[in-house]
Amino acid sequence: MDKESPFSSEYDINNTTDSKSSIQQNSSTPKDKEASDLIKERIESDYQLSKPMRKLIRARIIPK
Amino acid sequence: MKKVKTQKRARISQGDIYKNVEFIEYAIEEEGVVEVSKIVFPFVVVLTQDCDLNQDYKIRWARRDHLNHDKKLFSVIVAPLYNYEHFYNGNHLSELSLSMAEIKKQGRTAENNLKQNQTPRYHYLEFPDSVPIVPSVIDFKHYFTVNVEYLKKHKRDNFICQIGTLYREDVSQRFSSFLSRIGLPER
Repeated sequence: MDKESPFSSEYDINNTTDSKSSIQQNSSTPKDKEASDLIKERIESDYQLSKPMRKLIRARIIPK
Repeated sequence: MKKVKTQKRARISQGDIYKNVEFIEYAIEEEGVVEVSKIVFPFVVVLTQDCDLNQDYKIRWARRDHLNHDKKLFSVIVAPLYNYEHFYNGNHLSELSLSMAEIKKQGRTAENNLKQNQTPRYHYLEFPDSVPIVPSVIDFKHYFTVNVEYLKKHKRDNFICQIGTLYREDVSQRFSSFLSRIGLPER
């Protein structure tokens, strides 16, 4: 059964996506890829951060 | 377990969960150079008895004088919480170059026992959505102690939540039971 749209016909026309709309133009640019790699790297490093880590500190004692 | 308290109290309490707690492996001084090795645990849970923590707090921070320092603690017992996904794959300590038992290779029964807290060494915990911790496992074998004053100061910015009363009793009871187990020879 077809349900009547809750929006006016004008709204439906203005908000319908087609092959020319910006929403569907999703070919990635080098900049996008760089950003995506950066996000992926960040997620992976956050994931690693949730594991215990060892830290080594070396300091020279300065005599007073 | 999905019952937690997010209200921060002034003192350290049993069942408190703190982030980024440091465990000092060693600190040595040689020829004027100090070397300190520490492990930073993303999350730990406090296991010391709450009455002991309460008495220590009163002695340490109360303004009135006490007859003696009989109830003062040197340290607080904590145990690390490991991300269950890492734990399941046995790689939760990979950053320390340690490979651990893989639950995924032990079959469905082992996994179910673990999640139902039927495996004495481990305690499985899930948190409500409001708490930023993924499902985790406490490994009772990895308990360690932390200086009381360090932890009190650390709590200010690193308190996450406190495990709900009944659930923290369960953790405490299972921890003491694990510690008091008796290893019998296999033959």
